[in-house]
Amino acid sequence: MLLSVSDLRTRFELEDGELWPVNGVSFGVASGETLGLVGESGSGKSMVALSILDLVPSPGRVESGEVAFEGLDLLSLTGAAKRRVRGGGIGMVFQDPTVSLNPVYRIGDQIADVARLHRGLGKAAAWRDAVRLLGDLGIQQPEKRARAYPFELSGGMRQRAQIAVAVAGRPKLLIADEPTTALDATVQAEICDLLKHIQGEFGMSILLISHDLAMVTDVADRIMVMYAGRIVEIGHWTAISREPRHPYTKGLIGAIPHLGAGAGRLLDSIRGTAPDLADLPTGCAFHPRCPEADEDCRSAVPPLEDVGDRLCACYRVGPGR
Amino acid sequence: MGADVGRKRATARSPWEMSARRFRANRLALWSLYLIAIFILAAILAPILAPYDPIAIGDVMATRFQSPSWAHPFGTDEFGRDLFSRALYGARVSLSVGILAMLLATSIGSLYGAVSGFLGGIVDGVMMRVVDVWIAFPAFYLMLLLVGVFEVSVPVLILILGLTAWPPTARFIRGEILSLRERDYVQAARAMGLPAHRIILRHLIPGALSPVLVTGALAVAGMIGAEAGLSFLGLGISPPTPSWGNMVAAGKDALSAAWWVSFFPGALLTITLIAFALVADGLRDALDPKAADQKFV
Repeated sequence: MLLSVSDLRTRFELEDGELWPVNGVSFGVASGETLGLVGESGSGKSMVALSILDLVPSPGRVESGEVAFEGLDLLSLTGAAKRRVRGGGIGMVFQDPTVSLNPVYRIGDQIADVARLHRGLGKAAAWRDAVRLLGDLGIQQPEKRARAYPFELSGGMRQRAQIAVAVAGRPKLLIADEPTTALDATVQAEICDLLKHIQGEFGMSILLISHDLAMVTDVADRIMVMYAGRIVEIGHWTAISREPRHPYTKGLIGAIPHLGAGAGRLLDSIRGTAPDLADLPTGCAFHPRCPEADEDCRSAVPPLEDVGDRLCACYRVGPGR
Repeated sequence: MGADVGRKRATARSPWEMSARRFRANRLALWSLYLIAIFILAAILAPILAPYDPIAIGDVMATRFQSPSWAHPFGTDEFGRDLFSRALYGARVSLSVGILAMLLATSIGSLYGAVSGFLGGIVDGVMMRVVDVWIAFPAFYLMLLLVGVFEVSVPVLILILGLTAWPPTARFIRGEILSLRERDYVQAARAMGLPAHRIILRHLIPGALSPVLVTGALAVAGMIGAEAGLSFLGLGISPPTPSWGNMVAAGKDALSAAWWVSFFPGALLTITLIAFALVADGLRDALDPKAADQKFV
């Protein structure tokens, strides 16, 4: 495993209590694979990404757990060693390139900066590398665009530029947090293709985070479903799409709109709303919305267990059933 | 229309260039800047431009208190010295003290505020309490105390003014940094592994540069005023070296008989202070795209 996360817990201490957006999360990302992390807003998926890089904003902090990356224990790293991993080992793409690129620097400089920092390139070499990277990421006239400021580019080009910044240090793992959410549908598809292209070209692993199951499954080999700070199901998409096991995953898949064959039917929706992390239901956090819940589900949190072709955290699915 | 868009994009360049364009559109600020440039040039070229020696005293009885004329545009003072020449040399003192003391105060204040705001937590708390204490002590009395202790020359005065005036800038810049620190591009820079000093120098301070420029332009006016005040009280630059402040002071006793002795340096001071304030105002409008846009809504 390139990245292995075990029992990661991140806590936010608020004036009126505490909440755990990441509550005992374990998973691994193998070299060259794309793992999709899916969940509703507020399920804690972005916090998983920020916890891995130790960038959780105050008043939150990683309480316990372990993040191993290429044999390094990321949570115990400090100073220069930690900065080497950030950007050099793990690159991160943020949701909205309009605000995550600095408006007063040229695109090329922002890319070249990272290449100089992590690959020790000289100024001229880093600039040439930035131009080549932009071209490689499907930007026309890369020399001209490298000299452009972020506001001069379209949303899709800006996201390509931000991806270029993220991969400029040639990280082994790219974390993309909702990389297409701020873009319109046609550009979304282009960015998905681009992620696949990057993976092939640089042999990078990708952790793709999104609320959009259809988008994630277009790119990812395996998917991981998160609900209220916990992983509820992890497995290969081929297996999960054929037969989702966790009731929440079933709900998510039922809610994907289809063209063609399924057209005309009503979309299923999951009843109720996402739980408040500061006031979670007892037992399985999904039980108030779950059509299959019973007494067990209300009393204890189901563990994430191997159920054959995947891991699933549900008493209705467990091996004993 | 397509051609129009293309033309606009071809001319619109960096955010700084666009700000410069907005600044140039503000006539009052632009002319103020030209005026300041002329004053600075005149101060630099004082040895060439000055028709007379600003300090040497000749035949006092024959030349003293002459009213403005072609020979002496600003008149002469009680020792018969040409006030125009003295005003030129006085500009050297007043402007260099004002600008250099501002640079010193703004650099210290910006760096201090940026570090405090970026680090946050206990360090920030301690650093800001120091500023609070400093600000609670009236700056002018601190200056009075310091000019009493040290022998005042131009470099010493610059140090005293610069070192007493940085705390308000520090507090202001810290506030800016606190909001900049939460910007996504700063988070992104952290995620890319940029070290703290690079984030401060490359992302936070440039982001705070526009308010720094605006406060800096205003601070020059404040520094020139402070120098003039100290010199007027006889605690700043002492005669015979001319500064606009001590020139005003020199004429105050003869005001009814020879108004021009105090009037010209006083007018130059006033014009300079207003010019810097107008430039600051123009900078604020030019550097804040939102404020500038509101004018056209």
